[in-house]
Amino acid sequence: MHSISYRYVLELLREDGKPIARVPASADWEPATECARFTALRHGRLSAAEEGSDLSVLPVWHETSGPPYLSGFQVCIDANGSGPITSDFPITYWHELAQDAGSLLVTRGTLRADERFFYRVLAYECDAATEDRPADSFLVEKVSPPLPVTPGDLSEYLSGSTRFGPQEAGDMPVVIPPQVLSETASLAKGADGLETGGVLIGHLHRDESIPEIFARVTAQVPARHTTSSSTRLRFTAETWADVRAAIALRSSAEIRLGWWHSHPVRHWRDHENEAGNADAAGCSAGDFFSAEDCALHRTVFPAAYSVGLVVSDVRRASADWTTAWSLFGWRSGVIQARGFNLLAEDRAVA
Amino acid sequence: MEKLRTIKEVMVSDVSGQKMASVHDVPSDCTVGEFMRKVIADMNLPQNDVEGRPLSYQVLNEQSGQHLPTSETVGDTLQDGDRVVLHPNIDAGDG
Repeated sequence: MHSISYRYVLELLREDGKPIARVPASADWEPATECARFTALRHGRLSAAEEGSDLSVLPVWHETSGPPYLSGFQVCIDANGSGPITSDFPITYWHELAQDAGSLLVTRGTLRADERFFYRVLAYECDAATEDRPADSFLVEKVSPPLPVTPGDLSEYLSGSTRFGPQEAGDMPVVIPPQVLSETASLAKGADGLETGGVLIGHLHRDESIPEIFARVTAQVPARHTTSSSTRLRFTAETWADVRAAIALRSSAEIRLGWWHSHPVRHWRDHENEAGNADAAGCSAGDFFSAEDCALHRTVFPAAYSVGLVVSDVRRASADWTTAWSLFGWRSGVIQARGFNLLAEDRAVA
Repeated sequence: MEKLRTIKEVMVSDVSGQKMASVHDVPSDCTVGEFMRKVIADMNLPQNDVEGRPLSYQVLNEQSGQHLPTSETVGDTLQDGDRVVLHPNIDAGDG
């Protein structure tokens, strides 16, 4: 349960430092608090029994400007039996909000579309809001389920594996077997220019020797009951129900580690060539997570360990097409491109 | 006047299974849609898509494996101790 008693404001400034506007900046704290909690669990600073501990979000004041200006914020977990566990987050957590505010100012004519601006974040104390439950309303009590983790030896899985994508220290390791990548490529190719996708399932393992938690993808479940076009893929309620049934049928205690979807870049490029104008999807490379992709990830896969795989066509120097895979995941409460390890063939066991 | 029957407890989770809530004392004449809207808000699940349009969810009863019609009442569709999952209709892509 959060205890937040500050209101946050974005101050937008022109390049010469002149202020343009101040707008309310109520951030979505959940990705940050989820990140803080999971990071503490990963590194053994928070025990399983303490997973549901209360936490709070506090501003970190700018070291030269001082209050009310921030240099970031801190999530503080009030773990029982030990001191508070803190995680720091940078001011860039508000970047997307600042971009949205800038877009609004462009619409209003206050900013030019090509004009750069800077932003600062301010915080002011306010009374913590208390909610009174209406007399005729029912009670919704949040529950913190334990993280579904089993013991595992990370070095065993990394042995012989191949690293893909941008690796950053501090990222939770993710290992993926080759057949999952080949299945996604095959399904993407078979979709004939339409976006397609599925759910990545597997296990979370704790390696006590490090300590660390890592994700091991074991399979992908194709998303059925979807509707799609070359630039959109709708996951319906029936899709999720179907995936649930498929996981139950496997009886392997697998959890939903994330999802994957395809970017049919070859089809986009063909459409671009036919139209003779700007790329139909606004992008000729497929390794990106759109705003809609981020929103889906936030809505369906908010857990800090969740990942999203993008399967896209890539043109080789020889001009023929091949498949590329890009992984995205939560990093400091923000969805970013990240790396993964492709398991060696003989390690790819269920 | 007869006291309205309530469903004492229903467990709700999101698709990932990592966000859960225990919902207590749900009036039996509450519709599934009303139940869902309050639970989504109180669980702090996203309610709008990127464009600001309301997301549509459906409630899956784990026992039956069926999505519940939103116009039906909780009293007619759920029992004490049932577990349900909130399933959104949601898009990936560039639109």
